[in-house]
Amino acid sequence: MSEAYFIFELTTRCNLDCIYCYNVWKQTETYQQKDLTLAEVKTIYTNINKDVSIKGITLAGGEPLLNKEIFQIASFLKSKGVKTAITSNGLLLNDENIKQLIDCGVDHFEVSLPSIENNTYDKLCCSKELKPVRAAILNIRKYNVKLTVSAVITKYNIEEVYNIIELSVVFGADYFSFNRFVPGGKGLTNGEILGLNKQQLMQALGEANRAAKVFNIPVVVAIPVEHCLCDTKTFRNLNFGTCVCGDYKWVVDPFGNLRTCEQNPAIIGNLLETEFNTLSQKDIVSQFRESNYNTDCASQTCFANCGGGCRYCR
Amino acid sequence: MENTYKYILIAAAFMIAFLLYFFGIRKLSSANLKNKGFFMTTLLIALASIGCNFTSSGNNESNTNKMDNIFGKDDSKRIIELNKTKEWKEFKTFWKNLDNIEPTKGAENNEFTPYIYAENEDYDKKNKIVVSLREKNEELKNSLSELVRKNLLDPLEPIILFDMCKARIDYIYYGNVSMMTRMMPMPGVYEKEKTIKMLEFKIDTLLKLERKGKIDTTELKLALSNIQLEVKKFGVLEILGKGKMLQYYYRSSNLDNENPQKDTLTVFDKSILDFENAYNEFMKTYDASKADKQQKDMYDKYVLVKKELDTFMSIYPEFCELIKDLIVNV
Repeated sequence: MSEAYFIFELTTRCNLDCIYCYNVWKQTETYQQKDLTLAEVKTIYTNINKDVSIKGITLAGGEPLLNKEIFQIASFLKSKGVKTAITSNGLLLNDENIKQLIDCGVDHFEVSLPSIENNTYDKLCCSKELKPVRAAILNIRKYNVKLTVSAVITKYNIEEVYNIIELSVVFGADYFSFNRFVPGGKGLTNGEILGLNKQQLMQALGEANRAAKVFNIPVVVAIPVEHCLCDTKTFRNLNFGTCVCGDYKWVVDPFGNLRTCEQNPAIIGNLLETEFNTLSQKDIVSQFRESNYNTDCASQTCFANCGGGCRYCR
Repeated sequence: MENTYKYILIAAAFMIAFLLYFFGIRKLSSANLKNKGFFMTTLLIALASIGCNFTSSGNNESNTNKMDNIFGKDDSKRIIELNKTKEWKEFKTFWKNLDNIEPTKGAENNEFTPYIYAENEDYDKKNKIVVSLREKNEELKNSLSELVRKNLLDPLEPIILFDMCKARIDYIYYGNVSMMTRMMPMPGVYEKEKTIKMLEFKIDTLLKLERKGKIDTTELKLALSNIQLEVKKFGVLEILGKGKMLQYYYRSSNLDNENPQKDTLTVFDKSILDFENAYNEFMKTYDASKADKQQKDMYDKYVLVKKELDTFMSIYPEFCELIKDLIVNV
């Protein structure tokens, strides 16, 4: 039985309105507002678990804490022995919620911190509430769980890369996730003002590389960077990898729809009605898997690591 | 204060018993005298005994509290008690002084460190400071053992605190020195150095960020109190290192790891796992009746390290409270 890792988007709702947000419902009106219910999670789990060994599930959103059944959902996954993580903007991660989530089996927290400056945070997330996010990071660190701080790197915060990682380290992060901006969701309309050109990407990776070395923190470049876009070997302290979307990693939206990745709005089918095996073998999936490289790529030595890069971008 | 009440209670019990006895003699007939006298005497003894029992149970309670403090049932009381002692206050001042010294420029470099900054004209001056700090650390270690006798510290705690300060002093003034030797450092040593480096880095950076107004005092305190991970790493690696040659007898997977940052299982976790595996493997085959000198020596080291590791893991949450007190509380 093959293994797979899933992102469960628990709700379309969010208490922020980030201008770089990649959530697919921000780009298409076909998505209504909805929360994934516990009953639906149980059905989806059954339909997936028949066909693959679930390596882990990340509870995401929107803001997953806006789903009122989040604790019951986490408890259910815990009862099934599923390793569960949560990715949040941190605003609702107060001490009580953190503790309750940990009690319900969540053992890895990812908090988004795109800036440590109030002004930049406001520009990017349309919120002046940076303080609770920082407090959330510090509060999570009180517990023996894994903590990743992530940031979408855009033109607005490119100068802050080193400082964000520095603060993450002293606040106790175990990992830092470097996500270069990819135009998706709301970000599609803001691509011009946020997107990094090659030189800026190199600059941002350089700063992240320097921080990873100085602070001895694993920095994961979560959105794959193609070798032909920049020589990843230059950044020896960063962790590069290839795209695993639609292969090892899958996304389930609040309606139970299966998608290949967070950014990709294409719906494969509904897991409340159809089993995972049937959906994952559809043509749309194989087309997506093959979409990120051309015939030249396969002959290159770098292909083993690059694998063609981000399938959504390509 | 509690004892005062108990003594008052005992005195009152004696007084009541005496009065009852006195009035009993006067009012009662001689026929009843013996019986009542017996009763009163019994009452007197009983009341006095209750008083004695109160006192003795109070002592027990106080001992239990102290033991509970060490084993975490109410660590805040232990911290309060510790802060009343001159030994702890003195140690705290010493620790704070180290907090306020920034590592020598270049110490943060992960690669080979130039020989103790020999070209630096301040070398002699620095060396004298290091020697005096080491001496002070040694002196404080001895004075902390007094707190062990008072049951306020676990015997392992002054040792780890001493080791931490020693490593901090060395790092602050000399940087990472293990890679300066032609001998390959023992597994864990390099990681331990990095842990101390991270501890110093976090303290210095947080203080710097607070000075710049990038974080507020609440964040500073919370972040400082969150350095348990470094404390845990250091404590464990220090203990594992106590086996000295022991670690050469089992191959640590640390050595297989070209770049530890690329692995999700930390070097620290691996170190514990490797030791536990090696320990279990060794104990499976060890036969005391057939063991030679070397095997017996290894056995002793394995037992010592295992014992200290288990102890440290059990007292670790309370030990962290000590560190919190050292770092956060003035």
